[in-house]
Amino acid sequence: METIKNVKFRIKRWIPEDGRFRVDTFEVPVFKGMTVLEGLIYIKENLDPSLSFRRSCRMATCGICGIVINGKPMLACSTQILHLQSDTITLEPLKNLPLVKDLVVDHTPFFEKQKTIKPYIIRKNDLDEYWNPTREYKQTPREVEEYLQFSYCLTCALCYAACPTSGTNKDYLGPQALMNAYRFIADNRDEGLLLRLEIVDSPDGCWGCHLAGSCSDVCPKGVDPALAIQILRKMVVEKDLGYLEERKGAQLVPPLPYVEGVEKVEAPKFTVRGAKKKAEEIQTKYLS
Amino acid sequence: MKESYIRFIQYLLGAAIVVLILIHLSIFTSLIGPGYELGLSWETVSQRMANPFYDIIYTLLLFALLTHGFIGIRNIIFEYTTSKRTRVAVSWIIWTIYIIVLIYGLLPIIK
Ligand code: SF4
Ligand code: SF4
Repeated sequence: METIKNVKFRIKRWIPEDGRFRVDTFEVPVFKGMTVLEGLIYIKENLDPSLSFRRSCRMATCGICGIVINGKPMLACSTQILHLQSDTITLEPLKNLPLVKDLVVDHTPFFEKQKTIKPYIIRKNDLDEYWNPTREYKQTPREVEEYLQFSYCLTCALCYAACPTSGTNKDYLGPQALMNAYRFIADNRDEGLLLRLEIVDSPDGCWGCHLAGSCSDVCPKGVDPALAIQILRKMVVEKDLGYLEERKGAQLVPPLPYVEGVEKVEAPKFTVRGAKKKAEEIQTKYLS
Repeated sequence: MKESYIRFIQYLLGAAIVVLILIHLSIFTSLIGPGYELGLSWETVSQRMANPFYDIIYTLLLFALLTHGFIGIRNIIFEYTTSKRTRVAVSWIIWTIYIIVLIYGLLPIIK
């Protein structure tokens, strides 16, 4: 492909052996449409094989290639170099997460926080159906709209890296976990409203947010965690004032008429070993 | 007390402060008061403090401002410490200072 210009990549690399950052500069020939991730791959293949960064899907779906580009957390795979309109671009690892090497960070605290809000559909009654699904739950297009925007999250942690509160308070749940709590609350199949509101009602939960809005500003999917957090606050207060009660989750759609000669489609099996047992444990613990 | 109660009280008091501050400002400006300089003179202030209406307004304003402010300080300090024990200690210290300042502020109104 035709090279349009050379761009300098100034990379702030974390050197674990020295316990400090080192800045290295590489010159990358850039073609039209080339992404920052492709630039990094070029450096690794041609200039410095020791450079570490993460990538997987290369199409803004897995969310693992998040880094700080010119001071702003972005996905390396969906950021075109020429769109940055600069002859030098600076790259740094995501902030607010433990550093591993060069541009690689450890996402564990981010996912641990997501886990605390119980990021799955909670059902209290029809548990047989829950574990051995026969049909789907009824959702109107409007009911899907209620949570659709919030379900686009890639768990890329860009919002977490951009959040000033996550930077200063290590126990703050962070924009993604809080947004995810709302995502499940807004889902009409879910029956965990009161439980989740209890979890987020704390100085380190929805009340910790400063409404700086950086999370929504950097989100590559337009999820708007800041909005979800404000809705959570409203819901917590409404619950205290007695306006909000646990709703009954969506009911099953009626069975399809039996058609002669058509085989019944079985529900998919659990693919991760031990997942079913673990899920049952969580559900039993919650119900008790 | 649950966090949401504390924050809700803070929001309500924030709204109350807007109203009370407007009353406070208009008292010593020419809006309903005698103008800025005269409104702050010793005679006018002492006359005003003898009026139960102003006593109530100033008691409410003092209570709203102090409570709103102290909850705010508590929230800021909470961001610097995540230990539960320290937070309980901070709450005790904050509310003790709050009571002292509230009583001190009420003295001129009551006297
Ligand atoms: S709006 Fe709240 S969650 Fe989002 S960046 Fe600001 S403080 Fe963090
Ligand atoms: S809310 Fe947006 S920025 Fe945050 S993890 Fe999800 S996709 Fe990424």
